[in-house]
Amino acid sequence: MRSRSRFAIALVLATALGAWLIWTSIGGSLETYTNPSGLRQTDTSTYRLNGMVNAGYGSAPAEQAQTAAGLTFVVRDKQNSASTVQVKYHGSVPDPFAVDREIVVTGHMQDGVFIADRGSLVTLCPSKFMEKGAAKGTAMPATSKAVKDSSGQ
Amino acid sequence: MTYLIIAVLSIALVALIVWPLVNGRSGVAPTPGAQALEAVEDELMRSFDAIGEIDMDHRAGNLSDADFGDLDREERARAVELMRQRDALRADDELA
Amino acid sequence: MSLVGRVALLLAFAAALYAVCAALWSRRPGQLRFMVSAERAVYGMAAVTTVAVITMWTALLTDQFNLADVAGYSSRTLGDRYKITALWGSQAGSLLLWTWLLSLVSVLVVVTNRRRNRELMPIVVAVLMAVGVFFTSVVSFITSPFETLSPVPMDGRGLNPLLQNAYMQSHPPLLYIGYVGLTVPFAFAVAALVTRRLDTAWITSIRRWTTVSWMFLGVGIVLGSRWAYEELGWGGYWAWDPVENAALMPWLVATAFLHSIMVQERRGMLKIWNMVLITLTFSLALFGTFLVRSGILSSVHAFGESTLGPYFLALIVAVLVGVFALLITRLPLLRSQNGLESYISREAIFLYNNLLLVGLAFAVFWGTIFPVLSAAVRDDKITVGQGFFNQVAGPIGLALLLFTGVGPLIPWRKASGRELRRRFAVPLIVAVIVLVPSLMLTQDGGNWWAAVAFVLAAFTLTCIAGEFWRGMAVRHQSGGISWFGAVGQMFVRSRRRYGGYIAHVGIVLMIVGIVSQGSFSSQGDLALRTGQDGTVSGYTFVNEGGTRSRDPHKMSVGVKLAVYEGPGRIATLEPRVDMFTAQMQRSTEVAIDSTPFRDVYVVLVGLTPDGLARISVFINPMMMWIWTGGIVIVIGALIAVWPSRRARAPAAMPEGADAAPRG
Repeated sequence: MRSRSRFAIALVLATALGAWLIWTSIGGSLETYTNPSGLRQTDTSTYRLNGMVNAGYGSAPAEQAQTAAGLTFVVRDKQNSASTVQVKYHGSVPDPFAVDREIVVTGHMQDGVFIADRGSLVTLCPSKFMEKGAAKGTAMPATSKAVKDSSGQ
Repeated sequence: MTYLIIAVLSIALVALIVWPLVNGRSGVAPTPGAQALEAVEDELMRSFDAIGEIDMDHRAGNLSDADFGDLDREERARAVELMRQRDALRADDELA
Repeated sequence: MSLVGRVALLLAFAAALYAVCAALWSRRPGQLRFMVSAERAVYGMAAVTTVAVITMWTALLTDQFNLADVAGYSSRTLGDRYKITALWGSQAGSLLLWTWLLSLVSVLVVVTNRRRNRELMPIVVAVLMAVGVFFTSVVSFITSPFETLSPVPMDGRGLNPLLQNAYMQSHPPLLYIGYVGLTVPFAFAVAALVTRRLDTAWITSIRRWTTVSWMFLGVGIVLGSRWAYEELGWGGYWAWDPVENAALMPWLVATAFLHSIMVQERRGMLKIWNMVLITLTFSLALFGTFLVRSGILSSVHAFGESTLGPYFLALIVAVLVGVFALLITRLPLLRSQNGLESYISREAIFLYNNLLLVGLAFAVFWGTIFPVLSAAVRDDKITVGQGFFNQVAGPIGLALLLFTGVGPLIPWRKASGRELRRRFAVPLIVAVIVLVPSLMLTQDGGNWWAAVAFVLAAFTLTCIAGEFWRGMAVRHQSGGISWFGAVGQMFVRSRRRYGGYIAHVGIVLMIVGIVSQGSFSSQGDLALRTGQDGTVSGYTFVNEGGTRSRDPHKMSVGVKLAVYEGPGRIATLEPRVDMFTAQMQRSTEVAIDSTPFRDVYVVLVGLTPDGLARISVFINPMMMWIWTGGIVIVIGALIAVWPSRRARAPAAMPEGADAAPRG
């Protein structure tokens, strides 16, 4: 029947277009997760670094991150606290950023230091509590650059 | 005190639920004709809406005269058929 | 207190379970009284769930810190209104809220269908209560809001300061009403399948439910974005984060469903598609709830010990398998009554719109679960950045914008070419007129697609305006009534249509806002001592003095900024940073100056002891249009669903030009 085949044609076209769109978009946007142990000095590709914040970055991280020098802090591996990497970051610092907070930051290795992309610092909630959005079971627009925290901690 | 509240809640809930079983009330039974009649009447309302919409589209200039003629005729024929069905179902209902 | 709550929830579980069984049993001949009993059980379940909620609220308001969720999310000094909000601050509490809303919605469904849909209702009740069984069993047996602590703490941890604002008070309940409301069309769809009553009656019954739920879900999403914008301090409002996507996906598919049921109503087509869509919508609503609790997406949110994931997943699988089985066996009954006669017809446009919306939802879904899949298949966890979502959503959004304008002008079944050309002439002219300034605006940014968006927006708004104009003109001429009367008649007799058009206007406004902010926002950092000034994107900021204050709860630093645009002072902004002493929690209070043209958004990054204020400034063009668009959508939706006086089907035909051929 004419109309059946029209239907089918429309559907196939749409699927093809959609698949093409998705294929081309995915290409440029993939980022691999890693932790400090997984970073190699020689590998300068972009990673999403995940780990815990060590003490020793000074008193006003948000302000430091806005200066030309940037914020320098040390991230340790969640599983192996001996494995650390130094991170240099510029951009906005989420409010919950603190010692022993889990963070994710995007960037690449350069001369032994992890150079972070501007504004890519994200804090995760402590593992025992749920992200506040989860706590409410709602789609909380927690963002890749900003605060996500659990109940008053 | 707590136990009193719990007891009251439980008894009230059970009573609420079991009462119709004991009582034998059946509520509104779905007569076989009723659902079909509802469906036909809904379709009929929709058909009238459609006739009005086609007319409005034509006046507003969205439909050419030829297309309007076709669509209007078909929709009215459909409405007539639905009215026939509805009348038949109503007659059935009265007999039943 | 804890015991009353637990028992109430257990009773709710029992009532829901009974309701499922009784409703199904009532379908046997002579067992009709079990349906009445089942309906009573629905009322009863709502009653005891309400008791549980009131118990929890009482515990919160009276500082019963022996309850873990009271101690975890409330404190003695928390204001009463936030103590109430703390109900949905915890995982178990939010599930209790879900359950409660579901119970209330079920009561509403039963009450409004006392005399209708009697054949469908047993299954409708069974489905709603089966979902109720799931949720009540979760809050009774797996994670209870009434868990106790021992020893009892002296004070609670308090509610996260970021949650202490009006947006967070309203966002979860509204979002949940949306999710819960979408269970109703799903229940009716299943009932239609089971009872083989696949005529369009079930669709008529759920039209309003669908629209209202869709509206609440949309409002919830917009409020969440507004919250992020005001509270999170990064200058934006949407980051394609999994929790955001979790609510967006069901909304997109619900939008598709809203449109495609119109096709089934009018043309008897897309019956199978509608079944699939509503099942998908409901499953995505569950999936969204699952996503934020499961721990599978630990890539961005560390959910740690949440154990609910498998249960939700099991429910979703059960739903999908069950409906699929039903569909297969009812396939012959779902044949279309008509075929697609033309690629240019309203049903075709709705089909394209559906494909776009579902396609976008699919892309978002794919991008969101990519890390899970990659971790399962390969050794490394790969995430998809925001770029992916923006790149996919952009073209799809623009195509949808186009169809929003084109759709209403194209009649059902087929469109006359000549009439179409006349119809689209004015909108096309407007589009061309807008093209020139749009291109000039976007020349340097290279944001040519923003120009496309503006042109399409102008085109679509003109189309919609034209529809209103013609609607008024026709009624005015034919009825001999005044223009005012014509407008009144439009909104009385054709609410659904014109309400829908208004909602479309809201969508266009939102898209214009989204595109403007996305393409033209600018940002700059300034470090100013008192008296100094700095400029970002043509706006000059003068530091008029830092402030420090302290009270028992928190320490605050702030800065008073005078904002100048050229020579004229346009605003005074006072961003500040609070440090809550109890939890050592830092909270940024953003300062925003909004006009319809732009938001000036300032974050105080820090104030040094010697008075140097570091600020981050964002200039976001047309942000207000996003929120305004949301409000317009709500108005349109409300108009569309507002009940109108409807007599039963008249005995005779409406007046028309030609007499219909009889027989």
